[in-house]
Amino acid sequence: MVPEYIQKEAEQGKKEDLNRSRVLQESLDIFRTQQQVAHENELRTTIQMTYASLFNEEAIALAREHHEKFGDEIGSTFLGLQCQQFRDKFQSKELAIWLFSMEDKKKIVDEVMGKFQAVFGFYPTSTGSYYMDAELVNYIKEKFPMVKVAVATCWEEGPKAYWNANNSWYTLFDGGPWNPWIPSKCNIHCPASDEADDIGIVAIPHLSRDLMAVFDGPGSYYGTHPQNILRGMVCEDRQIPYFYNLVDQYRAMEKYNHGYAYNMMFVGPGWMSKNGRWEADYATLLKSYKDGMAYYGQLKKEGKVKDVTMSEFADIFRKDRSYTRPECTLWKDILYGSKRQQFWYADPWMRFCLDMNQGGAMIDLRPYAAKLVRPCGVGTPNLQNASYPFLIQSLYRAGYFTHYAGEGAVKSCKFSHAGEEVDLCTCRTVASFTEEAGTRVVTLEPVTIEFADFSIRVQSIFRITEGSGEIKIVRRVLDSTDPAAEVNIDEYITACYGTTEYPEDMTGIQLALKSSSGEETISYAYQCRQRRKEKINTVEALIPQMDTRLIMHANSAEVTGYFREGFAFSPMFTLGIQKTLVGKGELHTWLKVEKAS
Amino acid sequence: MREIDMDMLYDAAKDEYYCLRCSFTGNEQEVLRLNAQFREKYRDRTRRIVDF
Repeated sequence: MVPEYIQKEAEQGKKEDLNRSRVLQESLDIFRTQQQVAHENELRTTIQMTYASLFNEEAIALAREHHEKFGDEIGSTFLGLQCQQFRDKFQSKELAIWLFSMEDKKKIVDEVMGKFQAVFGFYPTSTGSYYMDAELVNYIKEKFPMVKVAVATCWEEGPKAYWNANNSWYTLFDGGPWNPWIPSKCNIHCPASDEADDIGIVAIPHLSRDLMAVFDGPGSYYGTHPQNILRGMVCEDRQIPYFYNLVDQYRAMEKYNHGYAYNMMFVGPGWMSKNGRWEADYATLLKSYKDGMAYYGQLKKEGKVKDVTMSEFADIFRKDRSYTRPECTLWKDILYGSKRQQFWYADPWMRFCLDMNQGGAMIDLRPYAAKLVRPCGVGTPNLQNASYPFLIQSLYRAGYFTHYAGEGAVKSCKFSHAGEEVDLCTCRTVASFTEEAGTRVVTLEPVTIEFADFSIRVQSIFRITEGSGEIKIVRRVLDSTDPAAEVNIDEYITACYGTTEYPEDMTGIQLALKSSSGEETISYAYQCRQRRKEKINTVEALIPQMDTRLIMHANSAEVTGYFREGFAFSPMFTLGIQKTLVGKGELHTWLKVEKAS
Repeated sequence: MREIDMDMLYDAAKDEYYCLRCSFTGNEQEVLRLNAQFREKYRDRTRRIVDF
């Protein structure tokens, strides 16, 4: 009821009126249309009743009828709070549940759930919002334990979305999983480590998004939300094959996740306004919705998908799922016509992304192991910033390319010989995925590195053993045109921390080299100090601001470790392990992410 | 230039759309031309991909 966009358009040039009947009626008409389209394709839905809709007899009657006739679930949502009744009770124009104070969150939860129960005679088992912080969900579970599933975040909807919306859409929550997960009690973005850490719901992201396009650009355009695809103009002559391609790529994720795949469409009535929206007229908006639902319907008829309600999904998701089981996918470009791939991985210890366009460089790293407690909303230090921090984010923090001789955040490997150096970031390749007894393996096609007098072929392999909290990286020199030539391999990570493009204070980060002969540690002070140590055991960074420890180690004692402190015009730190090979050979290193405290 | 979603205003007297944020001005034909140009970066926008 009264979605924000329809309200704004219907009232162009008029004073705000939450009770404007034309808006309410249009909203209901669109809801009816959406339900009809779903049911014509023999698809069941989860009807997310907004607080505002709980005061509308027609909306309530429709929900009851469709629940009884079609098996649709009647759920709740904390979207669509704003209505006259909410204004009267809470005297607030705030639309975002996650941005209220904790005191107000509790009152609103009690009010919304209580009203739902009074209307329908039962409490909902599903709910949602663009974002639901762990503190909010913990309260909901305490008071209303029957809730088992929620739309809890929106994937990578952070600073990128904020810029795209003219810096006026305060959804700042980068850093979570792109597919459903069981969250930690500590932070909604983090998958739970075990039963004690389990927040008690299954979380689903607000939209199923294009993992590559959204990481690089305005996320709203690129997901299984047909009208948003039109908004992004990923279409020609009113046709959007991109929608079907997205659905199919999500279906293909079963290859990486033990036969399981997930997709969803979540479209609020505001996206099918009779006035049109963005650059599309109503007929085009409606057609895109019908075509999308028809595809789901066709897939269902072919036995390729099963339609489930949110609560049904939660039960299916939890069945036989261990907490250590990761979510991963090898995503390919389906938008820009390249062969680019990214490998995304999320488990209770970390989320990371490897970019095959940059030789498998790690371009995003989030330390889930730290289980950072970051309440948001009025009265909290973070307020609107609900993102889960990164240690690497190569787009926000430069990555391989910088405008100066400083460094950007990325994890990669360099090969050098006689003063020449090549970073694998400049060696694009493609990858394949396999699984071996609990270890996920990403194997990259070899690349050729050319030095002045000879060349080598190098293959990279990434291995993540379930439950280990670390990544093993194998760099293999397969052959050399000069078997006598020495080549130095430098496996490194350049990192920082934060949630936005802007640097944070690195003061106090501890960089350490540990070997059997002793330990050398500095405390970050922007003094560009460097240290090296041979026969290294580990190279470490302790980032107190993130309660995280990063540890690199190798499979050989015949390696040299180093760290590099940055300076204010290059506010990064670098950890590295080096080995010299003659001809063929390989270096195995591990990167571990730990909670520091 | 970042991609930013915002409405343009229309000056009916000049048949001209203009942006409050950047310096763009142009009629509907120009807007449609630029929209078509914007779409060109999506080289797979008309391609149905079935191989994953």
